[in-house]
Amino acid sequence: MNRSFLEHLLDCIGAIDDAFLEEAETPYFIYTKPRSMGRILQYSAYGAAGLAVLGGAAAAFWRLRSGRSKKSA
Amino acid sequence: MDDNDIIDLFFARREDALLETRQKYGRRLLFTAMNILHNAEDAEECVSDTLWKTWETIPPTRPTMFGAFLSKITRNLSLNLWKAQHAIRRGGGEVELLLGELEDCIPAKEVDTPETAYESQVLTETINDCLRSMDQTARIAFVLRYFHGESIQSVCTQLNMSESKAKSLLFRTRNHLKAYLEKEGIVR
Repeated sequence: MNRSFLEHLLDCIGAIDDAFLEEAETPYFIYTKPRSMGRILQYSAYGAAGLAVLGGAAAAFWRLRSGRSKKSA
Repeated sequence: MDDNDIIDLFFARREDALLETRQKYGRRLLFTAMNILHNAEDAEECVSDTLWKTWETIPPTRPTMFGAFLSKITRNLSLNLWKAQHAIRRGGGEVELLLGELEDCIPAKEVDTPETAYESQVLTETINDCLRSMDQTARIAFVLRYFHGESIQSVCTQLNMSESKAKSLLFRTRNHLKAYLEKEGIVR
């Protein structure tokens, strides 16, 4: 195996165009892909379902509480 | 501070140019040196040498891309130091991994020595052509891994992809490079 060639190749990679280095220096968030619309809808649906459950529980609790207070009155 | 302002400080021979450069790029340069050397003391020394070399080079040179200019100096200094340290003992470190990965795709034993057969400039130009033909994500992954010596984990974090996807992307970039080197007759 000609190891010196591989080391030479690694050296030459060190001399690539500055533009490629600048491109890789650009803040990383630019390259992070935005979440897909499907994923956003999925999370929104989870959120809405969670809120509905909480709302239902709060309403049931409220009804129960007001029912009890009416009986006691 | 803007790169041009820092370069102007170098031209004015003001020592705060070094301070401003270290403040803006020191962390990035230290990462690059650390990726190659895996030793904080050596990496810090390379960053200091980079600043010294920059001080000696500017003026008369006025780099158009200051960050890339610094990165190249740090990488070359780090790689030279790594080579000097590993001339005695072989094995270990990220550079060994990088060489191993390149070796997988490039049958090094089938090439002539670079000194006799191919000029470094031709090889660098071939690598540049190869990079130009890649899509942006692949190109950035290649630069992060084989220029800066970033770990696979770091590459996948920065590009927001899974480790397996990053590995397969890098594998494809190496194969792409191999095809280019074959086309130019650099490897057979």
